[in-house]
Amino acid sequence: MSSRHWMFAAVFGTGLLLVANHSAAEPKQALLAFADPVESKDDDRHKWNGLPPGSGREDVFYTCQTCHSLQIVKQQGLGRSSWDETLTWMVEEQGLKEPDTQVRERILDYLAEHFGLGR
Amino acid sequence: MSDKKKADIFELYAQDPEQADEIVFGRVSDEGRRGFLKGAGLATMGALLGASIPFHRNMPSGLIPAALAENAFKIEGKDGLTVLNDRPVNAETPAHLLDDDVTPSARHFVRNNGIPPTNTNAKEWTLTIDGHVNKPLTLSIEQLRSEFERMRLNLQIECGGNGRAFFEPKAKGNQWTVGAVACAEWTGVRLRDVLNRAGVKNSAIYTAHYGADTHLSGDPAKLPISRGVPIDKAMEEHNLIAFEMNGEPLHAMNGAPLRLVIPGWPGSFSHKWLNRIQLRDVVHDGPKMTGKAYRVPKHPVEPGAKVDEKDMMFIESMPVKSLITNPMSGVKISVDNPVLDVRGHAWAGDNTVKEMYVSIDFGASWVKAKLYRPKNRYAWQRWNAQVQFPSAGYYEV
Repeated sequence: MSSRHWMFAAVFGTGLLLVANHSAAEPKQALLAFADPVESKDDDRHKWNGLPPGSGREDVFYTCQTCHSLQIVKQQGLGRSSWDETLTWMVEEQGLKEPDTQVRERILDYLAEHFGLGR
Repeated sequence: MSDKKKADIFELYAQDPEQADEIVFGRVSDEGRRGFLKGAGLATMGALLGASIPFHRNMPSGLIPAALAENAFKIEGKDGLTVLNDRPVNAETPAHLLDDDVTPSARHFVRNNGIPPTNTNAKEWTLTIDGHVNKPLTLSIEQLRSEFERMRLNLQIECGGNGRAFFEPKAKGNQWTVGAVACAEWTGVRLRDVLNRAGVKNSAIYTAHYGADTHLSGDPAKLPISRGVPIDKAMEEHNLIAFEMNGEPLHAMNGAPLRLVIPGWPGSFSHKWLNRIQLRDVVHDGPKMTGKAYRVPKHPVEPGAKVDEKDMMFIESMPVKSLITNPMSGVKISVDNPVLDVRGHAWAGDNTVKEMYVSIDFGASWVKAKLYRPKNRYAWQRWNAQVQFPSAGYYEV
């Protein structure tokens, strides 16, 4: 809780600066090698408007973009039950045609895995 | 640093912030979740930032130094706005571009729920007032201009979800950071004057707002959004039916040619492309008034807790907040003169901010800022402060 509290304080009022001598070293690239992800060579997400590979990608691609862009999907980090509620809302109130059961399961599995909690 | 590498750090922190601290910086937090940087870890983080961190003992663990977390600014959308979504269009303004007392139209954030109308001819536009009124009205913009007292006010509008990006667990919707807020100068007529012309019946307890934008699905029977306020709020004298923004016709993405401005409450009440206001004898139940939309728990709960519907309430007055708009994040100053002037805006929904403080040591101590009165009620307030740094290094204000 306390760490979150400070995060708010820092970010809402974010301003930051360096009080520096002009000799500051810049070994940034070397350090950042730590953070390089493992990326497969056949990662073709650019063809799928940024959706990472996985079962259900095609379903998400064709179902969600009927009305809105995938940019809103890719911003989310929701548990499977929240995605389930969202999909129900899309069908009941937003005019999405109900996907058949298998497609729905694949969509939910995919979203929960790639745009799930803890992102 | 390339954007890609920045994004990788983000991913690492998103998965497990404290572990990321350890992996990237060799930093292990104590029980109070304050990060203790030791030896190599402290040196590494300092090297990455280009300076040591004098107040590192106060710096929360699992927190990406803001210098790394800032996104590269891209010129997209209006003037320097960050586009979060392109269908529907949603874009926010980087903090340093919100420095003006009066936000230029080109820098006013955009939050659309549907597809904006294509026919926005001001000469043909009409506004209908109906429902629980004595005499339903349909008015042209020319009639609004000529038959009612004209008002010109600086009014702050903030999206109900501004700041959502920092929630954990994540909240649904566009992940707004700090820039879904603006304070433009709006010209129009008082909402209450127009409602009084129609004659508000005693049975009217709520408004319902309608606009000309269309639903994303293309279904003409569906509305993208229709929200409303309690009649007491509607009759407050600062609410405008606005036809000018900063002395010019409204920007197309900000509701041209006519919109509501209901300052201090979530921006979604300030209906764009406004063509009808209905008075109702029940709480309005249009799209985005029901379910969980624009609601918060009545009482504090654990982040992510399931809350019963009866324990949720509408967001009405927005909470107190402030923003640093100058200098832009990432500034470097000389150690010979370690003093910095910072400034920005503060606002508090229906209320006025009384005092404002800034900190350079992650909140351990605070310096009082000079805070100015708003130009008019519901305008944001300018503040400025001078801070002094004890030694060379990295600081967050």
